[in-house]
Amino acid sequence: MVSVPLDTAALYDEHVDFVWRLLTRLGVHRDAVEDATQEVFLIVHRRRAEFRSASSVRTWLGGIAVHVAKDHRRSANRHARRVELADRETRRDVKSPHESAESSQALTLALQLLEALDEDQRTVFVLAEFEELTAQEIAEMTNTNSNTVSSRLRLARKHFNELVIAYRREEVPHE
Amino acid sequence: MSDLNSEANSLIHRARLADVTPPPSTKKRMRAALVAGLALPAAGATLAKFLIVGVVAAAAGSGATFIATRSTEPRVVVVHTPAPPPVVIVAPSPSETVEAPPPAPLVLPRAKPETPPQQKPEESAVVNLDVQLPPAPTPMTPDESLAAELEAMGVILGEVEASRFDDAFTTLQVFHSRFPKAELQVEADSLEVRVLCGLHREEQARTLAAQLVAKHPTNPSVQRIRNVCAAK
Repeated sequence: MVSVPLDTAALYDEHVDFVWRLLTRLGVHRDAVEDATQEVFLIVHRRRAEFRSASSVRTWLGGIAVHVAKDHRRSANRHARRVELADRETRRDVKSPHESAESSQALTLALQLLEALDEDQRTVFVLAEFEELTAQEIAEMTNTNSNTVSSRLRLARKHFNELVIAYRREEVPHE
Repeated sequence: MSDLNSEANSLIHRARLADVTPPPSTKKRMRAALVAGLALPAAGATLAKFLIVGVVAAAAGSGATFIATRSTEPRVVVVHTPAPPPVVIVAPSPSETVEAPPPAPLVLPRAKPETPPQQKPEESAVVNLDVQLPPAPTPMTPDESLAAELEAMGVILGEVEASRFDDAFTTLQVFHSRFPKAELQVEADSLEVRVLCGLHREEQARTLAAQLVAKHPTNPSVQRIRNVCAAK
């Protein structure tokens, strides 16, 4: 394994959108995403000497983001966070208004439903279903193994299916 | 393949299309904070937070502790830490030695500005670093050095925010001496411009600012101090 020097600013330029998106999808409150993003890159800067070329930069960054998101969510939960997801990110959309509103609403709903999953299941679900990462990549990011990832993902999907069905039956309160 | 039912699959598919990226202005601001890490009024709160986060994040891996003393209470403080080597801040006598506690998250001094009026420090009498710096400091790793730099910048930021410009000036001189090839050199120099303004040494501030602008015309930290004295 070879250490390679990393330029934090260049990493930021290339991956800030990925980190921001991942933190958002992992449930970091929108008011905290900026701080969380900065935190990720600060950790990246501090640990850049630890990066091994055998690992993908994206996977490495994702792993840091997963940890930061977890910390932020825990911290937010202590204050009995009420998730406010309405109009989330809509101002940033560049799609047609209809398409934009639809995808934004879908994201809002998906994130709302994901709140019901436990932390580990949610993380695996987001990485697999939103980021479309492989079990091996997810295992690396979450510091676990592929079997655990597969198990968590299976449970997460089952739970999410049930949540969607329940939502359709209006059993889940929503706005 | 996904084991999601069709409705769940459709929901995820649509949700995936939502644009979740930071607005350009936010992206720019975050980058400036990341690269510059400089404490200037326009971005003080965010940057202070950035620095605190940096120090906290770095604290576990670094034994460096950087303590600034008030120059209105002249003394020598030697801070002993396991590793890396101690930081010494020197001011006119008398002297004392203080054992530092184990490395801990730094709390920036955000106290209200001190009531005694700021005195223009006499440039030649404030520090005497050559004599008092540890003779052979153990080289720090890049990560430790960066952590120590961030910590030092946090201290300086706290002094600036408390309008303790003489203290900030002293601490900056220690910073320059301790980190001659600092990664945050431009940020420290930019901060020094502001400190000089605070000390009413506008001429020096403008000269330093002009040098920085000439050398780093696009640096976001330098951009912020272009007109810092003029704005006062």
